[in-house]
Amino acid sequence: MDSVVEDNQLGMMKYGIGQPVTRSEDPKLLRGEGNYTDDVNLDGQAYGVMVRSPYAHGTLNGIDTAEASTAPGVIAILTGADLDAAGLGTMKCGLPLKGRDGSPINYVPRPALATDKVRYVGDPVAIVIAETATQARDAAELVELDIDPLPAVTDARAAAEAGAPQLYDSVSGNTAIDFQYGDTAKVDTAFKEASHQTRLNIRNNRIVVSAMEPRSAVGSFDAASEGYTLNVGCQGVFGMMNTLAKQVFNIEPEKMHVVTGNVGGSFGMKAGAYPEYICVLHAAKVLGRPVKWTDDRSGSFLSDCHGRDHDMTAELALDADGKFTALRITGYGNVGAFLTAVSPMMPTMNTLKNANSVYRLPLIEVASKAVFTNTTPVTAYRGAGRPEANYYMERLIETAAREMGIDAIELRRRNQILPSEIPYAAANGMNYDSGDFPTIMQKAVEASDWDGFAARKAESEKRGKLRGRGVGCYLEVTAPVQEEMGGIRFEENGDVTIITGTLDYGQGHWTPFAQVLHQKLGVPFERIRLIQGDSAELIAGGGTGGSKSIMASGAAILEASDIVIDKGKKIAAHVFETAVEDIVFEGGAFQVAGTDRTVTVTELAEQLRGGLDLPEDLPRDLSVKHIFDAAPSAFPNGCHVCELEVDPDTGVVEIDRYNMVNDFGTVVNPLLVEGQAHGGIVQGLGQALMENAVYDSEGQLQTGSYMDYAVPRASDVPSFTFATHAVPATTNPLGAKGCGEAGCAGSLPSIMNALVDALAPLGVKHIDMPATPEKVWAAIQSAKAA
Amino acid sequence: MTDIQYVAPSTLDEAVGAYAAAKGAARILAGGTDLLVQMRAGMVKPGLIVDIKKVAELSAIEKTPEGGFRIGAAVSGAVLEEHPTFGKVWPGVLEGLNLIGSTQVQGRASAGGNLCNGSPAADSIPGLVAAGAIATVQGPNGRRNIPVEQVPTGPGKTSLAPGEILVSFTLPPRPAHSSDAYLRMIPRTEMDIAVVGCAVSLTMDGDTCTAARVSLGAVAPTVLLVEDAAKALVLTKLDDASLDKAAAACSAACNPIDDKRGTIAYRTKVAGVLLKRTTAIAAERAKGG
Ligand SMILES: Cc1cc2nc3c(=O)[nH]c(=O)nc-3n(C[C@H](O)[C@H](O)[C@H](O)COP(=O)(O)OP(=O)(O)OC[C@H]3O[C@@H](n4cnc5c(N)ncnc54)[C@H](O)[C@@H]3O)c2cc1C
Repeated sequence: MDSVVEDNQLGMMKYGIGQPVTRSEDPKLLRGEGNYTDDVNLDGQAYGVMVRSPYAHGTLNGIDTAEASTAPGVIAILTGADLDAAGLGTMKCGLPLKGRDGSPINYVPRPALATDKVRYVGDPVAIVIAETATQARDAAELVELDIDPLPAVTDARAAAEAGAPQLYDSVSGNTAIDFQYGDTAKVDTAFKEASHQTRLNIRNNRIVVSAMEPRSAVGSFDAASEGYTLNVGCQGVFGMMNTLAKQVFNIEPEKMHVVTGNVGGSFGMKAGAYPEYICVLHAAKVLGRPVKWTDDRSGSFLSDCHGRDHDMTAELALDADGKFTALRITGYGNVGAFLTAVSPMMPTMNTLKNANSVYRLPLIEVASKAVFTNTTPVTAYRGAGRPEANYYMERLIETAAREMGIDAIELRRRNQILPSEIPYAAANGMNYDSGDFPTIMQKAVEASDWDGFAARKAESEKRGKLRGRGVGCYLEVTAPVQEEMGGIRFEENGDVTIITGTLDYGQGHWTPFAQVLHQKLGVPFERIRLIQGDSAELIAGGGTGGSKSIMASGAAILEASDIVIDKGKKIAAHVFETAVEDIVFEGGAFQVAGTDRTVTVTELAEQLRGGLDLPEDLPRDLSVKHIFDAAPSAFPNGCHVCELEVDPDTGVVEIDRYNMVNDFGTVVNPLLVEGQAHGGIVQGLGQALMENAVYDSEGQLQTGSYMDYAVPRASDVPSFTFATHAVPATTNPLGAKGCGEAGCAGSLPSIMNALVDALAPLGVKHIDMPATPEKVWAAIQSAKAA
Repeated sequence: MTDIQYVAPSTLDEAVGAYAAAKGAARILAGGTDLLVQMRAGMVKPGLIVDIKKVAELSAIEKTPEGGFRIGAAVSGAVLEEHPTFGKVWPGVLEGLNLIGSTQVQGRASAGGNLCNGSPAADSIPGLVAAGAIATVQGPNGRRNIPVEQVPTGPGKTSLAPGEILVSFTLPPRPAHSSDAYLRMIPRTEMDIAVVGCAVSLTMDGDTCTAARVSLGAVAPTVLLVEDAAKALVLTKLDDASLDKAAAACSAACNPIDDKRGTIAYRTKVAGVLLKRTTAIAAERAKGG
């Protein structure tokens, strides 16, 4: 274990680990000087616009481009047949996930443009390329699609039923995977023997991701080197390069240069390859000039992958003392019309991994199907199964407590894993390495002024309002770290560049990564740069996703720094004419032990640039390209307490108080971590109270704009009270646990539990998300009627 | 794309002349917060734009000889907000207009545009209807005055004849202890814009309501004047029974368009709820003033 965190300077250096340093990129972004993909304009570039299916399901008989191709400014129109003829491959889902009978995922790899059938409204069938974007848009409207509409199915449960419209001949029952984990017989017995069973049917509503920056891509091709370049917003250029090169273009990865500048949000949605990227790259080659495509917001609603959309039955078995004896989650996940690289995971493995949460649970079973429907593909969305699973568990606990007449906090306390039981081998196969769950809940309860609730409730009642309070404990299993690059380059101008293959899409990686390097090597914080978005610079890169970036890149930077120190010691020994063993590294400087002869890393780098006369066997510079191997998942956890008021006459819900205590392990930058928690909570609030992607029976997206799809605003939330109770992870060198998705995992259950708590006196037992005013009002009316 | 002509005449006669001459190919431009959005979306494609903001009468705020107010149709919410006395006399009209959009939008958006755009959910219109405002309209055949509630005839439709321009709104003089209020309910949710807007204008004599006008937005194809609700309030002390009666009248007046998700029952109920809340605010203001 590295000592960087326990360093006694911890918290004392202005830019060290633990300091709330503001984001280095913000001055530039706030001045509008960011470099997003749509800001990229290349010489001679043409513009592409996609032609999309207006039908949710249909046979594609033909595409008539005659009129469109003579429209002003049109350069070319490419269809699926053109991509086929060029020998382009398909986008695949390589997950090793197995079904209950051991079979692999059943699906048909996706071509960039549909050829035989269209499978959702928005399914791209052609790209029109013209001199200007407006000309391309006008011409795209002239492309005639000959489609025979087929019956559509948009709901996962319905799609899995016999007789449902089938999306693929080779995928029976529209089922990509029929997943099962757990000992069914034992779980059945546990439920039979339980003294109490709680059962909830829960919809996890479909979300339109709403990244602030729409997707955009610029493709170019250099005939001399036969190399492609793609400028695109994504979550990791190394992965994007490999996917496009190996799966689609059948070329060496080096020939697929992927470059990402600033990214205005992704939440999982921009992680994978999309048809548009393949189209602009291929078009650039065919036309011999760069081609740019930028979505508009209406396009984003249809073409960006959606999130969530699960339909589950969650059941909890308890003994007479309220001890949990088994958890069972069964149901359906809607994956839309095509699989992404990760989409079957959310309703299956990720639900399993995260449902266990902070509780002692002898038995768990998850049996769920990932099902194709005639809807926009669904992919990972902030939490990717983590918020969903924690939501099921916490709603079950709250409901069980009410049914059994046990205080909900007390019920949690009886079942929470104690610090003395850690390391804890959970029934879902996870091994918890650290955590103090009861203390965290206790602190959150205290922070929320638990005892003052009754008075606040009485005061609300005087104003005709119903007050409720809800708890959301959560534990997330972060994505394990695969290979990650830790590159440190000492530049000619004195800057020190970190090169790593995670990718900042709004989180603010530059600052915390620089804090880690600054603390470890003592190089000036202001001179540290960060490169992530250039595949030509990377020798490895796992991208960002699953709340792992600080663990991956943080560890990679620490290990790379150790190599810098080793190199530096050798050089310093030569400079000081002493043995390597006599050199110590402390406070950013190499020192001849026991003397006052020191040289800092920065000084040594400068001397090397000036030209040191070094023997053959010594390194010429301090720069390092290192690959950090792997680290297992971490288990960020915490407890959120939400208090809200319901206006019974209108059903309007107003969040009044919100407290949380979290364990993110070692926190490199508390300012950014708190910001991540805030954003996650508000995103969760959106799903809980407002957001819902609705399809009609023909598969048309009815919520196709912000007129019909509500996202939360600043005025919808109170100030949050944030506290940390950190128990550093033992499984990665920093001790960090990852915080990017935790806000959602805590807020869905705390908000929905609080809402049901407010309405429980009227007889309301459960409300599905989103709890819109009308839905809340209707629930009150039907409870009154009952 | 065809060319668009733009004119910004300084007299009303020129504006009417240009507008009428274009025979339906022209559009009036006030703040443009509806028009420009609709043009960008390709919903309207005018050959001529007649900008009316240079016409003095359309941008003026004046006191009438009778002691009321006359507001030019193109006056923006931000300008009206700055008027020294208007907001004291008609706080409800002002709050309706300045609920529109955001600060930027309010710098441009006019009540005239809000009315002529013909949305049933137009936020400034219930306040004007409750105020008993009269719209002055001028066209090739001269000037006429009509109550504001008679201007909209359906979503996106008005009773303005071809070539007619809305000139101004005239609000009557105000007896002592009168005031008004506007509340809207926008549960920001899928499938809904404004669910209900409610404006109430009252005159009080002590605790007794001596005059009332009630208007609802977003619950029918046009903004409604709800006379039965007003009747239920007049000559009462705004006690619970009277308020219930007025609320019931509001619910009864509702004729919402969309019942896909049960919104009819909800909108209908909320209209009554808002009536009570708006009346309470207006009464409070009237007693204070
Ligand atoms: C971001 C945003 C938010 C908005 N929020 C709201 C809201 O909360 N509530 C709401 O009610 N509205 C809202 N609107 C709509 C719009 O701002 C209002 O309807 C506004 O009052 C229109 O006024 P305007 O002066 O901009 O009209 P314009 O766009 O100039 O005109 C609107 C229409 O009326 C016609 N017209 C304008 N003046 C006259 C006239 N004197 N005679 C004849 N015809 C005329 C125009 O030709 C056009 O068809 C919003 C708009 C935007 C862009």
